[in-house]
Amino acid sequence: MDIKNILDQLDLKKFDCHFVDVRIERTQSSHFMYQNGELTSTGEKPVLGAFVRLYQNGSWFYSSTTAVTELETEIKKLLIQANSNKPKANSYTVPSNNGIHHLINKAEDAFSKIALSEKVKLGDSYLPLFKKIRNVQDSRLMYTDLYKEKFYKSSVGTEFSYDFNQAGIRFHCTLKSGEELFSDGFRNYVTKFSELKNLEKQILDYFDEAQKFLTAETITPGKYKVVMSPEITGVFTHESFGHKSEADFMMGDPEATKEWKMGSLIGSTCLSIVDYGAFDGTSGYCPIDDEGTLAQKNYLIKDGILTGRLHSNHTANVLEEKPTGNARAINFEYEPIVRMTSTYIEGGKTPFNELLKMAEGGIYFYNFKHGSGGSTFTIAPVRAYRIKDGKLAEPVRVSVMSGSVFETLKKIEACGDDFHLESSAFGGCGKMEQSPLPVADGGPSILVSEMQIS
Amino acid sequence: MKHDILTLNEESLSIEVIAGKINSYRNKNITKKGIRLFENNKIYSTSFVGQITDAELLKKAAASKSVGIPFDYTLATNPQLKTFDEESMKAPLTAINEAIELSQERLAKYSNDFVFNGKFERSIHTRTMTSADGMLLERKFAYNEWHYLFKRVGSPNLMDGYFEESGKTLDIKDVFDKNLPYLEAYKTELTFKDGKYPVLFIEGGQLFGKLAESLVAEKYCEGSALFSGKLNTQIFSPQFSLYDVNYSPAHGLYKKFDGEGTIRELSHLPLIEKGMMKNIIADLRTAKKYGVEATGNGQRGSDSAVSTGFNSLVIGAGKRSTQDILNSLDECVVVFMGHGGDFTDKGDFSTPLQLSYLVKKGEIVGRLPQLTVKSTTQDMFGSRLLEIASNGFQKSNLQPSLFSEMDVYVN
Repeated sequence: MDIKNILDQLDLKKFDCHFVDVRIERTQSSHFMYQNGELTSTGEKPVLGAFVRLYQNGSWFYSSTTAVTELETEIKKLLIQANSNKPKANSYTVPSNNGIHHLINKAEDAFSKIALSEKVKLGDSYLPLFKKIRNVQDSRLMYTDLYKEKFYKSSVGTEFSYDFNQAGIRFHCTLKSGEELFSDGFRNYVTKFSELKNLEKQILDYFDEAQKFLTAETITPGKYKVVMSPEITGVFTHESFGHKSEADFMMGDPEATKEWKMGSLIGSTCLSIVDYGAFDGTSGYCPIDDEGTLAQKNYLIKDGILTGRLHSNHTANVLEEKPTGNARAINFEYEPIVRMTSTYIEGGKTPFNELLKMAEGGIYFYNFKHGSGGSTFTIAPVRAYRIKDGKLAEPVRVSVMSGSVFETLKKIEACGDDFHLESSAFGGCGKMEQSPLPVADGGPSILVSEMQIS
Repeated sequence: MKHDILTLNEESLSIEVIAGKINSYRNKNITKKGIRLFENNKIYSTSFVGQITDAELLKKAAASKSVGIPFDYTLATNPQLKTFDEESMKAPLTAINEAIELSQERLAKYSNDFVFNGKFERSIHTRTMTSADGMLLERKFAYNEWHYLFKRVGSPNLMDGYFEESGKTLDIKDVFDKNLPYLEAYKTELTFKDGKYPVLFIEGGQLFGKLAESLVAEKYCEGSALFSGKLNTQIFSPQFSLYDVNYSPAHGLYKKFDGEGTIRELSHLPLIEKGMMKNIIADLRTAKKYGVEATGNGQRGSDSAVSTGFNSLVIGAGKRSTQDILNSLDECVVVFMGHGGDFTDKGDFSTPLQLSYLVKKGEIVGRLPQLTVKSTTQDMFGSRLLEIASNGFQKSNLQPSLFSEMDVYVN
């Protein structure tokens, strides 16, 4: 189906409403899973659907539909619904015409072009590896991919299309020795199928290190100095400050902009946090958002000073600021809301070994299971190590590390020189009913003077 | 060719409220289908989103067979069951507007101090499983849900708390009767000391993490779960029972048949009874593989293969009401938000508490500072379990309240 042609034929200016736009998404995804060497799940999922938004009489009216050839009918239905409502003033300032941007360029490497049988064959080739890992009690091998094309058109004339292509493979093991258990996983993110091959050595080395955790002791709860790896820095950035930068949480609060005054010193002076959707080849790639605003490098914090926040057109309207390219929906069934793209702390100059020396008696966190935001953010780590004599020492078991966002931002004492942006094809960011959204996050290793660990 | 077809339809109206005013209306009516072809002991799956006839889907699936999942178990034999809750569907989708109006009335007096943003949704769900051999399983019901996130005016937080409710019918009055006294106490900020306290999570589901793993056949039988090998062993306090519940219309649970067509008439499958581990859940594959009984827990979406999953994990009710227990406790930490916690593989549990209150002898004293609580799976349902209530915090909660002593630290 020629989707661009469908939108070309659709005249959005003819509808008697304040604003209307249409987003069509065509996705093809596939997955498989082996559990303990047995293929238990596999499938391909093609989806084609559209989301229509219409603003009239002071409210938004949305429809998600799979009838992409009948969008005119859908818009007419929304118009009837809108006009049957008690009229309110149209407070929404229509966005500017942001031009026409057709950016589809990944079709050649699209995972949808590769036969499912070839993907499963690759997985099959890795199965013997599990027998080479010591103490495996339970294993999973998971694969997922996604090729998505988005097409958009609005009544002010903005048009775009772009595509997104990613895959991931994950090896998960529960190790057991005596009564001691430890679960851990190796994962790899790629944008080309060939990059999924020849991972054997990395996987074996990874699970070799995991063996040490079988005998690890549980940490004594308390406050510790912490060194975060780039992966942990990424989730910390996303959960601690990224979510707080989403301006929709300020809606309806007349005091919010005073509390979040631009120019306030809110973090350590070595801290700069950025959100930027234009990093191609990452899971946070979003060159233009679902309202047609182009990605831009948004400094949320620059040298410790609050310098920006993330907006949709609506939140930018209300707070009288500019849209930032962060209105995103997880798929055609939902409306765009304010979301992150690739969010990170900018790299510093301190070598990793120096960070360890500065964190004597503290804990180093390497990777994680999940994190969450809020007044107190949390990260549930997988691997953590004690720091002794300026080096990584024995592994330790930790349920969660947590902290007050604002206190922790001020306790960042140093940023490393080992910047890395982390992508994942599994999971993503969850916000209210919309989960998971592909995002990326990262930064350098960082030193925090004190965090609650339990 | 032997096959089954799963058809899911959701029709919904979702209304977003920002600062007490309606911001948007979202209409959705989407059909998703999944087909499984069974051939030479392999399952070939295909899915489709949108309108497509069963005949077209079958043709499409037959043409796209590439990788099959091996299977060696017996499939459900042409089960038939129809669960239509006509009563729940009488009102139109727009009936959800009444809930918005009621909530606006109750919250009006707080609007100078708090911002309330939320969403109200009424939906009709249809799930049908059919096969050419005569399988005909259908359920259809309407469901209502709403939530408000609240935030103190000027608060730097994403949210300071929330109210929510879901089910066949709504009881907005009950939700506000139970929650607003705590909102009133929000501004009374307390200081607190580290120590051991009775703790009540008003949503207790997050406490089950490590235990739940042990109740799934694959993890249990592979020996990789915390309680592997403990069936028919006393692992917790005799006060503690846990069930997998598949049918409770008041709470929107109508899962008498699972994604493989296994019908389970027993609505409450006992997993833990009086502290003793009694059952594990299994789908058809894991039941055959590990020699256990299939329990109607084969979960499947239109685009996913079957996996073993709970319908709803619910604690066995105790004798006294939640409020009676609170009235009897000298001190209790009542947790409204404790997000982001987790377990180690040894069962150690810890979570920060973003919103909790101190209640003394049933009286709300005030809001506690940011805390962290710590326990273990073994302790919270075992030696440190204090009491389980006869009901939940609010009427819409299927889960009775669980009171357990935990180590509490001020952050």
